[in-house]
Amino acid sequence: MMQLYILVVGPILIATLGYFLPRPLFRVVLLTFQVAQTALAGYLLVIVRSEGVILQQVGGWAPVIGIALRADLLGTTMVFFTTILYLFLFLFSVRKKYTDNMFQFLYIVIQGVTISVFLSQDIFNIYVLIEVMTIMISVLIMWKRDKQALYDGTLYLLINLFAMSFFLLGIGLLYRTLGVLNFQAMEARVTQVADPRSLILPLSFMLTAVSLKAALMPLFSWLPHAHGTPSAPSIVSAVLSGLLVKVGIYLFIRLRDIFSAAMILDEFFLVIGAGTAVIGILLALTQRDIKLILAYSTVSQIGLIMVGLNSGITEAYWGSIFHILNHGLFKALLFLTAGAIAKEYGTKDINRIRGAIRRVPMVSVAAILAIFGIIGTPFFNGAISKYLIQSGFTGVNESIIYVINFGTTLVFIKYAVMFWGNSGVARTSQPDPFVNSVTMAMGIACIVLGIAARPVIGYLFEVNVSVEGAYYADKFVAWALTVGAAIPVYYFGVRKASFFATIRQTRLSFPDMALLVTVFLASLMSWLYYTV
Amino acid sequence: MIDIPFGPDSINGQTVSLVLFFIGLLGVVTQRNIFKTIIAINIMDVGAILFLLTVNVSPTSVPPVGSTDMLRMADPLPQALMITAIVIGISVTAVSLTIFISLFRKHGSSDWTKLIHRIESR
Repeated sequence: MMQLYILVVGPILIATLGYFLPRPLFRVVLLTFQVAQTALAGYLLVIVRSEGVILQQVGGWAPVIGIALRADLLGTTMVFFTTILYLFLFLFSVRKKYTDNMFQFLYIVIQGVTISVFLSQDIFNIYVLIEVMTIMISVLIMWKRDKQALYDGTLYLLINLFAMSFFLLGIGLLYRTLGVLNFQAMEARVTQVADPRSLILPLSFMLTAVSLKAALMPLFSWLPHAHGTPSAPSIVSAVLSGLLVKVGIYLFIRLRDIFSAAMILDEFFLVIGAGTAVIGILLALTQRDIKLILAYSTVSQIGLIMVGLNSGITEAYWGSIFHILNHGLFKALLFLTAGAIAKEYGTKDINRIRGAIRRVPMVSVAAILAIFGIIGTPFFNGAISKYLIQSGFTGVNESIIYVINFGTTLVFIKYAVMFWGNSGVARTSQPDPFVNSVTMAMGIACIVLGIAARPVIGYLFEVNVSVEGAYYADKFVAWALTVGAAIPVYYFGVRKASFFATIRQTRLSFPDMALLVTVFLASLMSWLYYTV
Repeated sequence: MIDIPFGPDSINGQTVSLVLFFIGLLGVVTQRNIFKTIIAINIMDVGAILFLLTVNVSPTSVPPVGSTDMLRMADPLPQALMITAIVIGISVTAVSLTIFISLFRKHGSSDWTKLIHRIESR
């Protein structure tokens, strides 16, 4: 019998003990550890798949009273994805100068905490874990302490603490109504609540905090600051955008499932998701900093995931969950390659980077594979998840998916311009074999997940969805038409639009963001008030 | 005679904690000083903690210590959890203040809007 807490305590113990080791030795220990952790998480996935859900009580408390760890398919898949991503990112950063012991300590503890969020069944436990995560991430954002990193880190820390106080009050209100903090027990008691309206208040407080964590419209203003900080190491941006923003979505799924007996949240979050996707694309098109383009693109992809999750169709739901993994993979890869390209060119301005494919060939090819993934090219992983999400919609609603796809393509045409042309300068830095091979491996993983999508989805989520339609010729035609239409629109429309500069220069200050959080809370509450 | 919904009875832990929470929220939304933002977030946190402490407690309950009558006992779970929440509150405040000090030294301002302009002009 496998003890689940090993997956949580392992990273924290290794990080703490390794902090006192000399740096080369710590690196060897970490390599061994990351490989072992990935193997362990894979083994857990196999067990959960064959023997069903594992439920364990931490500290030997009676069920419901203590903290329970529960490995179900969704949680275990996320744990496995976390360990794989961490293994990739560790290999990527082997030769980086910034990965000293203190950095590794913070970075690896976040791994343990994230895994714990995916396994924990106690909502207060999750509150504590997220607070720990917030502090550590803000320190990592400020790691190089230059330019605006300190401002971005402060903003990230305070807006998240602010949102988590909503979460804490939500827990209080929920405990007052239900009397339990355990997910399973909550789910059972929600069905017995006499008046579902008594759940409006706790749920809207908690969902506000979760929506801020997941960066939904209009609460995403912190995300570009955190994910796109110019000086943050690229593996930090990669783990933030690839993994940690998904913690918010994961919590949303959990809360939604628990309260599904009492109230249906679909319509509200469907609209919010579509809005998030569109506004993320618009803001991405206005940016010039490559990391900011990627950060806003994360916002729009989160919107797409929310659209699929709340469509009420099984295919679209699982497509969204598959898209969480896919987006984690290619967005992490895009951030890693953006970091490598920006380092080579010494700038992050998209207008000053040209001819990257000749100057840094391996990294650029990997980045192009990731772009193919994110715009949903047939045979890539993004195509499968987008196809599944799209299959949940018909008629007028389907057009929103087309708009999002077209917008994403537009954003990445703008982004891909930097690979062509002539830089006029030969390569200045030495190629790093670890950077090259890791980015390449992740790029190939995008194709493999696309081709082997059906068995992967079937294995991970135990659902049988038909993805064959994604390989049909009309999908190729649709894709080619989208790209073919997006190129002229970009060159003759977007590139010349002057109002984009005005949008780019608009910045929200902290009190404005806090006001938006309050507005979101009020609108969610009133929507629930009139529908439930 | 106008029926006033709030009487002396309504001044209890629950209402006071909710009022505290929203006072903190007002502070976060209206204050432009980072230091005041940190204080306001703290007030919100305290409000939430106080609210949890009032759950399943009545004026006649006794502290959950020793082998007291289970029925009259105050609910021990929120109290145990709130110790953790208080400790977290202290630590995050300490971290926020530390970061605030280094931010202030770097940019020479504690005003959110001024900071945006200073960072933009660099």
